[in-house]
Amino acid sequence: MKKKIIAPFALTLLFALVSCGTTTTDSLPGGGSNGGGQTSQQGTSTIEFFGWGSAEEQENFQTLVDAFMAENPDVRVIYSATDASGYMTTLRNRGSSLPDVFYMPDYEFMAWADSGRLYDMSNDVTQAELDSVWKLSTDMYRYDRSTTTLGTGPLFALPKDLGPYLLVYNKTLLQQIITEKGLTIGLPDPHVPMTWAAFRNYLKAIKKDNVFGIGSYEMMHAIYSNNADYWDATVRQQRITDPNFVNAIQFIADLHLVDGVMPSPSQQNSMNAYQRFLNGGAVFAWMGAWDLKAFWNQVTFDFDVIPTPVGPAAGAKSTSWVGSVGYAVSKNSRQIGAAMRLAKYLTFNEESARLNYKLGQAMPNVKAIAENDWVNNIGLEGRSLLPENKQLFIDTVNQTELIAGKNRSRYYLYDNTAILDFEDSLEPVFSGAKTAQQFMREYASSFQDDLDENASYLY
Amino acid sequence: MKEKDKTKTLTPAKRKSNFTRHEERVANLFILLPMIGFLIFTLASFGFGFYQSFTNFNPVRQETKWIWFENYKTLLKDKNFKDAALNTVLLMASIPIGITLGLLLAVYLKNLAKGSKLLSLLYYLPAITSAVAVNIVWRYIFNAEFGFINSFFGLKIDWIGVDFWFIKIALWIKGVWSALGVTMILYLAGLNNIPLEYYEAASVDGASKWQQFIHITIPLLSPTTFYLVVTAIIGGLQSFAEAQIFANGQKGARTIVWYIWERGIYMSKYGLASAASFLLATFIIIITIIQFRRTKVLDV
Repeated sequence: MKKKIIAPFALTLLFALVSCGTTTTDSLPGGGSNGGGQTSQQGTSTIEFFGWGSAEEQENFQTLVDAFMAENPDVRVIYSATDASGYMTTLRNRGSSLPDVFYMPDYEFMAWADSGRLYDMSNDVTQAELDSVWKLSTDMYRYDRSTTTLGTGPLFALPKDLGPYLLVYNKTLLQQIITEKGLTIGLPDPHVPMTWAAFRNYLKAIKKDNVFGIGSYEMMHAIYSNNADYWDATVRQQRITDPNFVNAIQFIADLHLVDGVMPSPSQQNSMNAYQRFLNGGAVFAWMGAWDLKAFWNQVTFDFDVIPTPVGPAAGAKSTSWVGSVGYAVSKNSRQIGAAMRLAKYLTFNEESARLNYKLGQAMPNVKAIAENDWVNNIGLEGRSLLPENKQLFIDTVNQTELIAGKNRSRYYLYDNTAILDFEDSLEPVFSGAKTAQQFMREYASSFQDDLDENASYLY
Repeated sequence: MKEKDKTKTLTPAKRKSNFTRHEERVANLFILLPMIGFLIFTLASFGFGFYQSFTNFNPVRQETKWIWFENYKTLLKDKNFKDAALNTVLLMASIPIGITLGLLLAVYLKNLAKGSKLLSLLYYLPAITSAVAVNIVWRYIFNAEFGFINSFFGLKIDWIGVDFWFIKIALWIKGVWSALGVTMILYLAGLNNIPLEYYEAASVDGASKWQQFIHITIPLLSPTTFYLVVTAIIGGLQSFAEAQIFANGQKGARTIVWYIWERGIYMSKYGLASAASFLLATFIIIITIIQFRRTKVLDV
């Protein structure tokens, strides 16, 4: 009797396990190619390309992939994508069977490059190709595993895009407020950064019922633009008690607590700054080049970008963070050649760059396209809502005398816990329960512990 | 005569007819799939999670290091975990209120001459509505700037903000409302099972309605109450949607399961999240055992 029970039990178990494990190349979207690409009997390489994005963005990428396959008939690309929020979890859970080509956000790059699971592309890319795109973006994906140093050494990803995050304002609303209130101020200077004091005065001057001066203030912009940072050059010693750092945080808190020109933390929680800006509830907010598509679709007002205000600290320079996503290739891919061809096509191809910006998705990777076509709105005829000061995106990437761009803080960490917990703990400062100085003094040891834990992964 | 003797020597198992044996096989096949599901997705996952709670698995490096009780030590030192545990316990304060109101509502509907079925249906609606939808709607109701409650009462309370207590009051109100339907329906079923003769006899003896309620209704509904309390406490300890959807991750609403999600899924600290899961599971098991031991309602 026992045998009779065990037999169907074992069969069903076997069936269940086999069903879980069965994957065919044709049913791969979102699945996997079990450790890299495959070569079919006809000599066609099949590779998997995995990314994220909205349905519209996925359609755009499918178009690019189709164009690549038309030019490379020996390569078959299976493209799939997920939503951005679940992308990294999905990628991590793929275990050892990574896709052949996949997105690698800058803030996760260090851990992945350090793991040795990314293919070293250094010998597959020519200097001329590298020179055709932004240096900041290619340096971002260099990592020396022997010294655990970012920005130098082998190249582990090619940039998909490079996005400075800039201060944007609702030009229509601002002009209306200036006229209504009979103010003598003009529109903000598009080239010369305001000082913090000037910016606060400006926001106070345009203050109006139900309209905030600014929806929120980006923490990194304030810290970087006051010649401060979270840590020292080795990222092993905390610097949050540095007066420049403390003043930057207090500056943000005071925009609400003292000046009343920015929503309270709870108001920001009930409606985020981006939405408030789109609804005309805030004059200033922050935007990346990738927001253009949403702005074209959703806003009915003119807008423009200006440099980040600069703090009073000695040596301070208007600095915005610059984010990026790269194309990485799995070291274990069985079709490295085909995978690299796809990554290079998406990075260096001019048509790909043009399509990307026409869809409002990114500032072009290819410098020549960005500096000529994109800045001059070539191919964007008919779009009425364009920021006039597009050059600022390029200046931020190129670094001028007055303006700079810098990687976001999470880029420098192996483990993001230190930043996530720090930002999560700042509420007493923004609600006025503690001054920034008090808080930093109390939180410094906890932050140092997190940095020590981060270092433990590397040293 | 021969047949009779043969029957006498058969063991009970052998006496089973072919039909019974066939029926057993079919029955075993019916439970086979759920059993496989349980073994793979519950028991094996449970065992793997327990093992993982002693490791610091790094999904990027694909490395697993055995670190003994380090994850548990980290949890006990972590302020975020302690805050989440405190929030979880405090948010369960809505359970007795919900159960009491559900009981009163059931008694009221039972005695209602007309419209009780319609009202029961209306009160039960929250129970069959998606938790996500409910949390989104309540989020709008409690919105500080344009929410219904502040607008209607002319208040300026930041319900879902940084204040420790306001967010809990909002969650208690929402929790009571959400639980009312199920509580009411179960109590209504329990009330219908109480023989009317008990009330008639009590009336003849001169017992007031209140005395009947205290001495007949409540004791005879104790199995229902026990079930509601046990399931509500287990559900309360596992609450997540309130923290994630209603409160958008605000500190005052973060629960243990939210912490597990944040550390495990968002930060990929699977070992730490597994350790937190095991502490929570252990706590739930202990609480449930205590409840079963303290009550006599299931002894009947």
